[in-house]
Amino acid sequence: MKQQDNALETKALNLYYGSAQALIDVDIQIPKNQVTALIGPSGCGKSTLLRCFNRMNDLIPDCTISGSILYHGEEITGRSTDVVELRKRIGMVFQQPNPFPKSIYENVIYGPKVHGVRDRKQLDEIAEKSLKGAAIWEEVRERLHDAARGLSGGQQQRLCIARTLSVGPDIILMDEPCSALDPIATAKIENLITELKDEYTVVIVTHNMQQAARVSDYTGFMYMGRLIEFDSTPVIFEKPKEELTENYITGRFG
Amino acid sequence: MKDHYHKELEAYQVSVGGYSRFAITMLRDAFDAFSSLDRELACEIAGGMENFCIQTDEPAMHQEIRVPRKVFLSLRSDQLEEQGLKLIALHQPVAYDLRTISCCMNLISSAERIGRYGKDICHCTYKLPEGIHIRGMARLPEMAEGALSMLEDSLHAFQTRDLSILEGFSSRDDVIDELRYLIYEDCISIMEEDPRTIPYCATYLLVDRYLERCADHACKTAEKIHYMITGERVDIR
Ligand SMILES: Nc1ncnc2c1ncn2[C@@H]1O[C@H](COP(=O)(O)OP(=O)(O)O)[C@@H](O)[C@H]1O
Ligand SMILES: [Mg+2]
Repeated sequence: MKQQDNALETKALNLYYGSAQALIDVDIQIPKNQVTALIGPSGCGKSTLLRCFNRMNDLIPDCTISGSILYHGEEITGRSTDVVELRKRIGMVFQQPNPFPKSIYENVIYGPKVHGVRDRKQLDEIAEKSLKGAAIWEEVRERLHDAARGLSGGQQQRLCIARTLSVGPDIILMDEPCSALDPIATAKIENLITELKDEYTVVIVTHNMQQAARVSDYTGFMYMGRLIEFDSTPVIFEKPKEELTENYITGRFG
Repeated sequence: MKDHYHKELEAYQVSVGGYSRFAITMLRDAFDAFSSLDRELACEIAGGMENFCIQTDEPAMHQEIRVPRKVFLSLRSDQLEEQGLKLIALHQPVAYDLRTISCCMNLISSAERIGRYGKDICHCTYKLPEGIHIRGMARLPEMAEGALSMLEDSLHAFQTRDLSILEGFSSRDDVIDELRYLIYEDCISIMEEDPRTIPYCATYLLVDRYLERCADHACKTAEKIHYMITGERVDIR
């Protein structure tokens, strides 16, 4: 059988914050150019797992891991991994849109500039391509030099996605990207996520199960640090195999 | 502790089970009306022959207005379907809950079909003279019992979620199919022997067909119940 093309994979991944274990023997495979959703009750470890993928947990003191994490088959837990490069390849979008207090344009080209791009024409191209990729170009093209914070919440979130795209990633991690948005802004982001998978692999953490059902191809259900079930999204929502999953998604929990 | 939505979902299943029970009883009574050529009972089920079958000495304005069961059958089917759609629209059910509502929807439309076959059997009753049947109605009583017991059992499995009740459904359906063919052959030869039997045998052939369809509904319902409970598809017939 042909092996599935995985963008990310963990094997026997365990993670501790000090002595508290937050991930327990997680084996997950994130298929390339697909949208994978992680669902589960608060505190089950979704954000923690997401942060493992681009080594954001390195920033947390006392956080230790064992097991392996593979990015396109390559181990990324070791010292030799270039974390700056890794975070260029694996971008992250957070719950609260967090544009810098600068213009829309400056926000988008911030990353490329940090990584050494100086040519104005090239920066303009990157800005346009990224803003188009994040489906916000038409809304901001006439006011690229206005303050980013003057945008609506949904626009700010798409600007943050554009900022992530500007450094040329192939994986985009999203941690509850719509939690702070109204339904219309949410629908726009969801639509964008579906478009992004032509070029990118997307992993999204969401506490909104309907959202997971709408946007994702695969869904992983986590509970108390473990990945309980992982399957194609229609299977998870129509006939999950594990009773825990069933109870959670049907709202029969606790 | 169950939340409001899950209580509503359970109540919905009870209502759908009740509707299914109503339809099965309608079929059973229709067959009884046919067996005893009881036009009044047939009329109470299927309507359409009121002038002909309801006799009363009461002056017209004191007569009780009786709505035939077929009217309730069709109104209730729409009501229940709408309730199911409302549950889906308001709660976006998933997994077992979703499969349950889907199964309920199937049960509703099957029940309506079954009730309507009952109505059709009543119409056959009107076509025959009052009195008695010929040749013990071929083997129709046996066939009716077989089909009705399958319907009863599928409803029971739905209500108890006990799949073991559905074991043997495909061989029970084979028996029905075989009977259907035997009755068909019998009727042909009876009619050949004596053309005066034609009005009887012609209705027997219709009822034969209706009952076979009812058993088929029982099998299809059984498949849906199996899917509701396990999430796996099976092919019963
Ligand atoms: N920086 C941290 N330091 C210590 N414990 C943390 C930290 N972040 C998360 N945790 C703990 O790890 C567990 C998983 O948290 P998290 O990954 O944020 O869950 P989720 O995203 O599913 O809500 C929780 O018990 C949480 O309290
Ligand atoms: Mg989180």
